[in-house]
Amino acid sequence: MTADLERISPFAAWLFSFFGVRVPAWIMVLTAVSIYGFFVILPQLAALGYLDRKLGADIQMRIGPNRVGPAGLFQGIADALKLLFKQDARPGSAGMAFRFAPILVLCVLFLAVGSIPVSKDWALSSVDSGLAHLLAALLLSRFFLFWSAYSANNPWSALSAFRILAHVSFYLLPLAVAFLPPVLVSGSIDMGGILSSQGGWPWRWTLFHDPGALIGGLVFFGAMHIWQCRAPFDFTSAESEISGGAWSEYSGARKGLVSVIEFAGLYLSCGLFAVLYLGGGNVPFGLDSFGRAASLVHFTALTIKIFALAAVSIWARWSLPRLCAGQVVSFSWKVLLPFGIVSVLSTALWMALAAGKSFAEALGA
Amino acid sequence: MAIVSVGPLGNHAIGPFRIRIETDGENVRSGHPEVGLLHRGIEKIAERMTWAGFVPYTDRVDYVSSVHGNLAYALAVERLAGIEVPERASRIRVIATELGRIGSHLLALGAMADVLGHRTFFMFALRERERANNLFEMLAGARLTHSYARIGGVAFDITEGFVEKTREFLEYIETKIPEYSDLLFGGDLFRERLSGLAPVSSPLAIQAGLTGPNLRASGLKRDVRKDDPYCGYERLDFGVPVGAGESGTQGDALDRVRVRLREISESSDIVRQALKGIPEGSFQSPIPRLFRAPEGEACASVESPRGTLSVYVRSSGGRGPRRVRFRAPSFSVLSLFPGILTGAQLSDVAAIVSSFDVCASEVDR
Repeated sequence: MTADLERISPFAAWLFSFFGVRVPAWIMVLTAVSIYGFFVILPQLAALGYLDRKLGADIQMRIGPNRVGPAGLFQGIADALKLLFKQDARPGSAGMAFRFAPILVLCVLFLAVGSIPVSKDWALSSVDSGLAHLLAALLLSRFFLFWSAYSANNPWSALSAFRILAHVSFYLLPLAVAFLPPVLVSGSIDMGGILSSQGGWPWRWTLFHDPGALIGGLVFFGAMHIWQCRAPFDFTSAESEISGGAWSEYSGARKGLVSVIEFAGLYLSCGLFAVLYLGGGNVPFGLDSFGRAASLVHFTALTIKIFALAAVSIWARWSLPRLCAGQVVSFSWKVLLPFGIVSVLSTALWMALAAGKSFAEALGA
Repeated sequence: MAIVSVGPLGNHAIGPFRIRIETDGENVRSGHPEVGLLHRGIEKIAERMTWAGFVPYTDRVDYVSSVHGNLAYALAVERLAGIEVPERASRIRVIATELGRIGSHLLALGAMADVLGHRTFFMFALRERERANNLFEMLAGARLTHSYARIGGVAFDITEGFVEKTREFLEYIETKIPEYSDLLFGGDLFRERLSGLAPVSSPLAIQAGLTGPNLRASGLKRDVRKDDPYCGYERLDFGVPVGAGESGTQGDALDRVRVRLREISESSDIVRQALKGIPEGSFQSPIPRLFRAPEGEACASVESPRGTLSVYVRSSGGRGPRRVRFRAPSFSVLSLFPGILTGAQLSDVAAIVSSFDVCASEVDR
């Protein structure tokens, strides 16, 4: 039983290894999901939101939130509460999907977020199909986004819906290609396998395994940003072009989901890049020799990486103008895709010629 | 095919006016500007006001740079009544209107950047504009609707410290202009979006009655300050920037934006010259309390930030005007839109509109 649980949800097994009680597995999984969602993921999303506001304010030479809580830390909570108490209006002509499609977007995104392993013990879900499952979740989230936009029955939202569909063809190929170098390097499509094949030191990360993987990593980070639909790639929901597009008819708490979806996307982009290419939560010096509590060290390491990456992403967001669809597609197909293909081919060649050794190992030997 | 409405609310353009757009997917089939949402009947109100009492209404003709409206009206009435304006007043008027032009162009550039998704530049531009507004506060006691240029002179003499503060501002803005030029045109993203967008050839510009930066962007060197100088502009040395067609198409959105950016530094140069020798004397010629203009009619034009702002006044010898008419430059721009929006991309509509720097209050009056 425990062995099975460890295979499905290592985090649930880890959590209940502290208690000697015997409870049905489904209760363990549900508890683990709630605890992970509320105490691990949500605070990080809130912190990303805070970072976005504060860094954005710094870039624009403003002060940013500074009233609610120390240094404006609780502004996000105040905003969430405000949105919860606002009317949740639905246009009379909107379809049924208007109500639940944004929630489905969020669910699917959490499927993907939950599959990011922090460490061997701290992985909410461990799926054997790993990256395939992840890619499916990434695409499905955009499908539900399309659904929510299309069901609003508003011309702007409809335009946004078609942009979201067209958008899939922009990032899909570079993204799928950039998933491959870590697979080639680690020989596994399972996230846990990719994570454990890397070490704490930068030269043991996939990114610095070989030149091909380095290019692949950059392509991956770029493609994930196009997938995210966040500025500067936010032409699917541009305010000045299509009035906020998918979200123009939403209000109240459902409108609040927009920012949760936005920061879940940011978390996914940075988290996946960190786990697939930057060694995830692995730490050097054997800093993680604390037995069962080692996962806290891994968690800290991964969080630092995610937030550093998010800072880069936020920096780009606030300092670049929006790209129009043509600019996005030419960036994606003329820059990302060729480099992605080069990266996969050269990683494969490297793995064949260097017998799986990394650049640093080959240098040392 | 769908009919969508750009404006009057939303983030598309500054001020409430609406463009009804028939779209075919992302392509614009036709675009019809619909005006009148901001009509206040200013010209009709004039018929019930005294000559001096109408001055605050001229603020509201173009609220982005209100001092130009004051000046045009004052010049027309002075011409009608044959009032001599003291040298000092003329010089202060030049300083005020050029500061107004700097502020207005900053807002135009910022709004342009904002619809292209560059909120950061918008913030920067507004920050500088605030400094110009601070100077107006020193000068006129008001930040936006100054009512500063009055019949026969200006409302108040320059205050203590104004000259120093203005010099400081000019030094500051001159260091910022290259920075902003870099920020906007240093990278490819803006240039790609704006180059070749909505080009207006010089015959078309004349046919539509364009004036100001929009006309000059298409290569014609026409400027009221040069062609029909007022307030002693003939004694000041300044250049008139025209569109150079750097993208290969003269008179496109890129040219219009560049002309505005260059005009900021020209204006700053003019203010610097004007500050050098402000003549001594009175800032206001004595006007009787119950001023009556002689029977007749007169017309005066000024170069406002948006183009030639002309005022026609007719008097029947009473205490107020019989008829006042404003010829607003933004209104002529709207006549271009049906032609220029046909065949455009929906994502470019907001960029096209704001590249002409249309001020809705001026259109409707």
